[in-house]
Amino acid sequence: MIFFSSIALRRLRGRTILAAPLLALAVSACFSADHRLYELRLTGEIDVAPGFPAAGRVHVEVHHQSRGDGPLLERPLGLIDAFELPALGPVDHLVTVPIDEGEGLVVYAWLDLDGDGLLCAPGAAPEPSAAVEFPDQEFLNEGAHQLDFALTLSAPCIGPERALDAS
Amino acid sequence: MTLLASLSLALCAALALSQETAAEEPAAVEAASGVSKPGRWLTNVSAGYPWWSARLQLGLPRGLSPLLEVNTALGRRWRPAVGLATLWVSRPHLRIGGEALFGWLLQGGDLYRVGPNVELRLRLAVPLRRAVPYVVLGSQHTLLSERFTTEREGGSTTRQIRLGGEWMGWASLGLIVAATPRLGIDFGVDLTGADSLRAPSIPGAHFGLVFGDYRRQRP
Amino acid sequence: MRRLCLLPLVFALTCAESQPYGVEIDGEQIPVIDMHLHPGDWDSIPPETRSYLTERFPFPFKLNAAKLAAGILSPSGIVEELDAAGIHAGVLFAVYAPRTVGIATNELVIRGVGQYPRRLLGLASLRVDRWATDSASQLARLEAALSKEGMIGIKLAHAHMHFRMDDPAYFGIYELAGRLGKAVYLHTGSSPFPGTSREPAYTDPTYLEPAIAAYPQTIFILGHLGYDFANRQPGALEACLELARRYPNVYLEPSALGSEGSDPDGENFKKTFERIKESGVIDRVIYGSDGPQSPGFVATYLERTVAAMQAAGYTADEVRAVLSGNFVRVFGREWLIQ
Repeated sequence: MIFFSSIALRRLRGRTILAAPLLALAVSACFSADHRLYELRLTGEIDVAPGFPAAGRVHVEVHHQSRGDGPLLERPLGLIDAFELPALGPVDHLVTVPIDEGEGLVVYAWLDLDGDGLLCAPGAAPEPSAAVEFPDQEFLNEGAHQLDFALTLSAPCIGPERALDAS
Repeated sequence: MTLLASLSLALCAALALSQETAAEEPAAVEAASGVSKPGRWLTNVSAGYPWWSARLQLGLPRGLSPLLEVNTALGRRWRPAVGLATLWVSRPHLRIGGEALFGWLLQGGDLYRVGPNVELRLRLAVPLRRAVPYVVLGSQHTLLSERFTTEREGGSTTRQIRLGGEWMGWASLGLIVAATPRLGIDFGVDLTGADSLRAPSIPGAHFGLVFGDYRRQRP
Repeated sequence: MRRLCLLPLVFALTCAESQPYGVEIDGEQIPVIDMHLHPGDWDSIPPETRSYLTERFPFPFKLNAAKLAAGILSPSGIVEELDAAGIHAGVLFAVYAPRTVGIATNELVIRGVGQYPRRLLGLASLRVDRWATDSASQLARLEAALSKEGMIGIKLAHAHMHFRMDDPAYFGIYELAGRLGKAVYLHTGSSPFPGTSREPAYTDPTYLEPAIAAYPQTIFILGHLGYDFANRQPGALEACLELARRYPNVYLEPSALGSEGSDPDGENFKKTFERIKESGVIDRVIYGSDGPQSPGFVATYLERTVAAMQAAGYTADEVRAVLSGNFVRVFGREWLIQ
């Protein structure tokens, strides 16, 4: 009885060992795409440098620090989320980061002084912007799901592509 | 030598080699109609552009034929399937039947997609003395899914599945010639309409061999 | 005896009349130069854009898009398209837009031009994505590329490359262009490709005015006439026409907006050419298609352009100006159409 049981157990174990890769194969053959997302609460403060008016809506963009693979296609930035705040001040926003699409995080913001929804439209007064960046380790490894930042809008008419250099 | 010339030569050779059909139907008819007589089996293997396929069908009572099929387009889109075929009209010179298949789509490349696949087919065959012209219309539906795994703020993990679908319609217009009672030669033109016909499709063609069981009817 | 029988065949083949190049307008054969063509490498296109393009290929080509693209995007494939369209010469574009449409290097373009020196010219480009650290080296590489035979200008696409049209940090590109006597082609208007910017600062040619005014010795070619490809509307056409009226260093290029996908019934295209004529800037329009896109596109786009010009009442001389005359006036190289 024990002999047959052990044979049965070995067969079962063998089937289990075989079943694991088969199951993985079956699961991978079920989905056309698999996305991994990480919820991150962004908290902090956005203010403006002296010399700029302090009234107006704040446009905020959250980007990956970099995306793409290989020496040709690897590039900075990649938009994850965009939202608006009614004014300068505290920020508390939940963003869902697709962690397989890029690395790191950049928070960029600009102050819409004239309320036209455009950063420095032709003929408009200069509107300040700024950005801050975070490598993956600062918000992913901890598993804390929170990232605190402070941003002072100081560079006039700079898009996200140059805001890190100008900040 | 052009494709058309090759096909014409093969057709002539098949006709020259074909024998008088006996009272029982040759495999060519069962291949074109999609249903085998009870107790009989049949295989149909074809190659062409872009479709290659292999099919095994068995004959059961009540005019049913379970079938096993795998087809591929350019070796990049694969669809193994099992199914059931039946005949609704069975006259000496007219067969109308239907098939339902269930399978799995596996497509690689830049349009990677996998998922369960259901297909419905309509077959029309016109058995003549040695040749069986046929038309097949197929409607394939694949369920596509994307999985979203989210690590939530509170530490929990949630999973969501977003469902989508792909439709492919196709038609084959062909001719199976009975070279012998057991052996047939299949030629056809294939038209495929992919993704709701949004993008145009290039017509294709195939050449196949049919081989099946045959028993001469006692007089 | 067998050789005598072959003579009629040889005679027929050698004496067969080959199709002349160019388009026939009012009995006149008008030469054509297509100034907007894209060579490429499928693997240098981001995955999202590859999926976007592949969806548009016919079945079963979409199952192996890389193979189809390799043929169409090669210099030899492009020259075949020019031959089929009866076009004398074309201009290959280098592209450095890793976030959107991908990369076609200056070296790829220079090689293509070198392969077909009497049929192909090239526009060079540069990466702008790490400008603070790399601008000097990128400008040096651009200047080196422009020194090669057949490289006649610079290609920029702010919506694809994600840099503002009015940002003075990038004006060194226009300074270089003016100093070397090379025109600058700029994509204007929105783009249907994934990841492109739709903000006005990256698409509206009005934002280019500071640069146009600051560099009067630099020729700015406003590509696509500001067309809104996302919504299939004329978009910033009036802004382009206004800039052409006010600045002698502004030229216009009508590629892609008249395709079947962008303007199915051709009405926008006809109205565009009407407005160009009304604005008195026909002498600034340089023909381009934005091909090859798919087999036959280069020829079809030329047909649609000629049809739109004829519907808008263009004379043969005006058609000639658009299809090749203005190109030769800006870039020289009249031997291309002789």
